[in-house]
Amino acid sequence: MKNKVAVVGAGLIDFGVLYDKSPDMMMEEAYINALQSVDKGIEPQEIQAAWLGTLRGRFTGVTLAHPTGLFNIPVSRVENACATGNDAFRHACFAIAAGVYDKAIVIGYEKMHDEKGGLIKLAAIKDIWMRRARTMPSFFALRGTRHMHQYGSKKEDFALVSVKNRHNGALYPHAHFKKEVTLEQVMKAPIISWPLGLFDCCPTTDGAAAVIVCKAELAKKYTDTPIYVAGSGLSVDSWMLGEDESLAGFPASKEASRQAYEMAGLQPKDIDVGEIHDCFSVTEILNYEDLGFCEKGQGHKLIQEGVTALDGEKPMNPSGGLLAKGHPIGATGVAQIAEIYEQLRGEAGKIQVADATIGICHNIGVGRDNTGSVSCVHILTR
Amino acid sequence: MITPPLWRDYRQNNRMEAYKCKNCGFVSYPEKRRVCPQCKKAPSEFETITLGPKGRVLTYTVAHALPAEFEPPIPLAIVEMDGGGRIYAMVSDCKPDQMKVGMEVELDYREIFQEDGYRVQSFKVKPVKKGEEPK
Repeated sequence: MKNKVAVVGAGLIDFGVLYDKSPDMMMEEAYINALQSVDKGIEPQEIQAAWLGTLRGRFTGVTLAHPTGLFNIPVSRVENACATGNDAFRHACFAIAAGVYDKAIVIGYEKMHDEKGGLIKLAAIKDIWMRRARTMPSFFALRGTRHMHQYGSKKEDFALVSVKNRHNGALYPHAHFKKEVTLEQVMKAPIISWPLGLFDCCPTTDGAAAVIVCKAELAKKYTDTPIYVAGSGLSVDSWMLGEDESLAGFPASKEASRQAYEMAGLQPKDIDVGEIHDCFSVTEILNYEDLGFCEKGQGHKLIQEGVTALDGEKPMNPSGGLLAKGHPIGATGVAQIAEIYEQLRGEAGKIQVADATIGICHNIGVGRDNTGSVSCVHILTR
Repeated sequence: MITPPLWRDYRQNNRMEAYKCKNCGFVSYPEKRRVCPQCKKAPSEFETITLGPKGRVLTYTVAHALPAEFEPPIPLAIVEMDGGGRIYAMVSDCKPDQMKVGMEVELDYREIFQEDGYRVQSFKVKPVKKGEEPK
């Protein structure tokens, strides 16, 4: 599939607490923004197939057809926990690479505010192991404790990720949180699930994003600066299988990125910029290791040394990541593709990373009673 | 409606039954399977064993933000059981600041919640006190 698919358009909406916007309004806005972003223009009639990424949205792809008017074409709905957005994109890429379609659109959205209870309660109360107080924060906090024990990282190291990403988010127009936080604020915030406090956790955010992909040979018809899909990977894991690796990291991320690097013929050192899944501060540290940016157990050194800061040698989450931008689940991965698309085209404004030519997008999601995870990775190139 | 899953899983929840793959020795809990996720043999044969009762904390967290059904802070642990199998458990009889990676714990049968007057009992874990054998 390497370089057979090009991204030629991307649209985001401003993420946030969007009580005034229905899922249809959110998707419609992302769709129009994506259409209008295509340099040389694209007509809706040119889109031959669509993929919808949403975790809790209404059933079927018809959900996408209503706000876009894209009836009478194939629309599939993809759900793969927090990796939903990247996985929906992956499926559109497969179809283009296979030659079944020339042009397709991917829209991801999540309306996190219209229901009460939410995912934390769902995880804590339901599923096979009922009422065992398992939550999304605890799933990641367990890994934080293990990382601290095994590799000597500290709560302060995790907090530095929140400080960095909130700093970046303050510069990014679409971010939910546009206010910086200090190390002291992060450290003194109420504990949610030790060692993670309130500012170590991403907010509850509504959002939508859309990207338009086409066959690489057609890309120049739409723009002089298309971005190519060089690599893609996906994998699943479980700590129940007995590997210690899965206690302070995610074998799924490691395997998904290995697949993507192999397809792209690239290595971790080649990556210039990334939008990687920082649902909790500690997750970003684990990602550095799982995505190969450092040895296992050294992730906290990268944040201490500023390597992943906006002005560092390998900036991660210039958008503010999930911690500042927010995490509307189905939209998150699609937004990452849109953001790296803008970065590689040099259109990222205040968060532009200089001379970025190769970018990575990464999701890690939780499933199966908090015992398993799913990761999806894409590598994009100019 | 919670009764059918509780009924289906009662051997695991109430008798601590676990299932050991005869091909590779992997211990599956609470899932009772015909295929082994470790050696991939499908179908494999499984021997029914009893989990634990002792094990070691692989990692832990202390949950502070929980729905109203719970009384936080609650320590939670991933535990590697002696004889195989990994479980996720709330930790009883242990203050949050006493939690340590590597600490020895044992299964502790408790009522974990009530629903519609129905008392649901299952396991938690608690620290093993020195000089005291598990009951």
